Amino acid sequence: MIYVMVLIGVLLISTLLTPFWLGRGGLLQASASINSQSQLAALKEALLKAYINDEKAFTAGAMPSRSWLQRRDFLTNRYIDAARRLDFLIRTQTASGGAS
Amino acid sequence: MLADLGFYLLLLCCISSIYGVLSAVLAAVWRHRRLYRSSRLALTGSCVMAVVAAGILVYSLFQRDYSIAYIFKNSSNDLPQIYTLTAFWCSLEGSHFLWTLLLTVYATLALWTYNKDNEHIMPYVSASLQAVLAWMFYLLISYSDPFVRMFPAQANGQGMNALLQNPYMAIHPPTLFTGYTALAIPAAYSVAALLYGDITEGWLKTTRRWALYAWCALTAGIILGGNWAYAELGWSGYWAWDPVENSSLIPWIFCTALLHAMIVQDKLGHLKRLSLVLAFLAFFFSFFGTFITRSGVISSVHSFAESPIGPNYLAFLASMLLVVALVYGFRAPSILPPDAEKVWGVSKESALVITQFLLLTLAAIVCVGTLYPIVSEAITGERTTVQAPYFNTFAPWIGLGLTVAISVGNIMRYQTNKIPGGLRLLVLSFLASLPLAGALIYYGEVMATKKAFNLGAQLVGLLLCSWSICCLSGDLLGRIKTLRWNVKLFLSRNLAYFGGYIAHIGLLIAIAGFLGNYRGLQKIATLRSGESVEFFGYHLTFDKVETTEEDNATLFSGLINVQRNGLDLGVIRPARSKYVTTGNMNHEIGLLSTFWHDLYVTLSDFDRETGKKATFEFHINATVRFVWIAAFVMVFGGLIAIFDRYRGAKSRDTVRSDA
Amino acid sequence: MNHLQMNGRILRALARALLCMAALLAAPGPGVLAAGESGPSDSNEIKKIWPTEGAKGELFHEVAGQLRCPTCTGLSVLDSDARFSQQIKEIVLEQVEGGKSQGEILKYFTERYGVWILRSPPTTGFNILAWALPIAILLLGPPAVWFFVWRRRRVVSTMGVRPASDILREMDTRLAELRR
Repeated sequence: MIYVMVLIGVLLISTLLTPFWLGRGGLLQASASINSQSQLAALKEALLKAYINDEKAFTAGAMPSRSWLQRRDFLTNRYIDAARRLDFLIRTQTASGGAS
Repeated sequence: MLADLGFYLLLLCCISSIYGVLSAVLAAVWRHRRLYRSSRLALTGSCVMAVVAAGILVYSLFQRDYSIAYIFKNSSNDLPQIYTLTAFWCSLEGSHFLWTLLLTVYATLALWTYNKDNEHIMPYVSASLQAVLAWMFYLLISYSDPFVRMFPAQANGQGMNALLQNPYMAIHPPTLFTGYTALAIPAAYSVAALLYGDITEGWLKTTRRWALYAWCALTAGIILGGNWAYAELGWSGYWAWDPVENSSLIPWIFCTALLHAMIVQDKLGHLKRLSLVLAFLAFFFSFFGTFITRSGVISSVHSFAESPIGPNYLAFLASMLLVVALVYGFRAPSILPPDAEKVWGVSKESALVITQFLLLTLAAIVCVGTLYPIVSEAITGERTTVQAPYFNTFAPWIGLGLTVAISVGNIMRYQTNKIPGGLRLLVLSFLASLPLAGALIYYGEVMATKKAFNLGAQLVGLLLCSWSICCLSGDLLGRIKTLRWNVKLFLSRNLAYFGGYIAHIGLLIAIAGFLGNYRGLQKIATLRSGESVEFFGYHLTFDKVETTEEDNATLFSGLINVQRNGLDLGVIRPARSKYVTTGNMNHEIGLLSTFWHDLYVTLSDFDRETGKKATFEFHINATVRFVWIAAFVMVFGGLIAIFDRYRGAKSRDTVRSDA
Repeated sequence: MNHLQMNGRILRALARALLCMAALLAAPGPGVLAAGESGPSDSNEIKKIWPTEGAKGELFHEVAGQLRCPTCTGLSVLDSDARFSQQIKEIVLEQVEGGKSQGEILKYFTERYGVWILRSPPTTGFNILAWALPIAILLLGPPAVWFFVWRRRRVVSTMGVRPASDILREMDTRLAELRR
């Protein structure tokens, strides 16, 4: 029984550690936590570029239409989030004097 | 031995959840994808282990392993198979285990099926869910441990409480708990939105779906509980405003209010913060009932033994409330205000706000009534009782308000006080409602109300209900007409509206049902063998009292032949069952149900020696069936609304629609 | 366990003893009080039938409907079969037959058992709070809603955030520029 327990414990721990060497890392998409206007503006441009690239891939036939539609909606949502945050920051930061 | 493994798995679940919280918090702060995925795997691991542990308990139940104290206390060798299964959740530890199990499963589901648009708030969602789970698993390994052993193992268990040996035990708790636990997801998303600082696109869609699912489960669970009380307890009612019943109603009310706030949020971007608050409160109050009964503060049909779990619950609920209140206080201002400058006028959104007000007032009144005895005793030292009469003073008024709000609100439009074809709709629906109300009054035999009960209120109420139903239907027909009767197109674009329509009709059917009941139509009679009595058009002849032996009980049934208008309607058997292990005598109701009323007969007393003389209580419960039908209709409506693809994603469709 | 649950247990134990049932466990499910607990009588005597018709019947009905069953949860003595409830109903019937009014009978019971025996709190003293709160919410609610929600009509601002449709238009314009 003790062996079963140890085995289960080891299995659990190894499962918990797998993301640290499998799969891609990087950052979770974010915008509302960004407080810098220049970073947001850059993010918007990056999203537009990604949109154009994906659109090219789709028209060239390299991306299936379902993926393209999902990708398009996702990038649009990210853009809207970033734009809203940027609007908010511009208003509040110019109101209190000084952007970052 | 298996029990030890079960306990160990629950211990690992607790540790895993704690790790899940820590890694999710770090993932949130650093926006670290790997840490988030590790946190999600921690929850998945907890889920798998919890399921296995549950499997162990079920297996042990069927193996009748009485070395496990919980199994000893809740089952016995003669317990039928289905109740051996329901013994899992029939008492404190097991019921908490079921709750935790369902929460783990739904939380895992939520983390794996998230909308990619919400990726950045998922660490917060994971942290919130696993924080709650960590505490629940902690309880499972400390105060509420289902795997506690007792030696030496006895040969037979103590048996299950007779009241719980009922098929409802297989569906009422799991359904209700599904509702409670599914509410955790909108709550977690709300906390996540606050911590993150914004409600993003795509948040509404996910939250709405989970709230609808929880709503369907809660509606079903609550009405099933009522049906069980009706069929089992013998006082011919189904809702006693019992503290635990009330505390299942409160999350339902908050969930309904949440769904309606999210509609306004979807259309106009307003009431975002209200949605956040409602989502959290709905989840918070789902623990409320458990807390007030298990801490022994209030005794109830659902009471388990008083246990040290009480202070622990209080500590958890208090800290959860404090933490979320702090988060809300600091972060709510950053929840970005509505999309555009809007004005509140006389329009649909105002009607929705009035609906919120009515619903939240009802929740407040139920809460006050339930807590008042405790509070008054604490303050004045004098015990008071708050039961059905108190709630029935206020609930009908709110029901009335809601009936009007449903119809008026549905026919109004957003941002305008003009109702297209409004006057015509109101007049036509009023005219259509007269025959409907007339039918309800005639077939429901409303005029047969006893003087002590308010006839006028019933008549007015039924008229308003009918008028509401006609208004809603008229509005639906009007909308389909504008699409030139292309029903398929209408449904493909308006599934949420249609689901809402059905759910509202369901609620109005239930209200009509409530209006019909408890009219005081009853008769008590002592009959000798062969004697009969006339009641409400029924000719009831008593035959004799039969004694039958069942699995684990002795059944004393009084056989009554029922005739109406000369037609023989069969035999009903109101009975008492005496359970061997516990000695309780419980009611089995003699029920003859038609669409419009129930003939409800209970066996009060009988001559134990000859079985030839018995006392019966006869009740006529009019329109009770409406309430059960309404449950199906409401759940059906809710389920339809879940499948709407357009709600919560409006901005995408108006501009980027597929050409 | 409070004193009323103790009473319930004593009554049940007595019933069992009278019925000469041996070897029953002393404790039914801990703390569980069935809403309609009772048992058949130990003799051939059938339970009393309570009046339902006429002025006396209606008065009895009304009074009994306002007194709670002390050993069950959520029920009135009228609905309950429990032994204690039957005893209370006997007393109520006596008083109804004796020509007492509803107020007098209820006063009789509150003097003996306390305010607790009534199904809803009376409107005196501290208990008026139980009634005042809901009424206050119902009456003060609509003005509060008007004040906090409707009056905001002029004050609602979006803090400079454009509606989603505007942002999409901006996005499309920029995309068109980038495509060139």
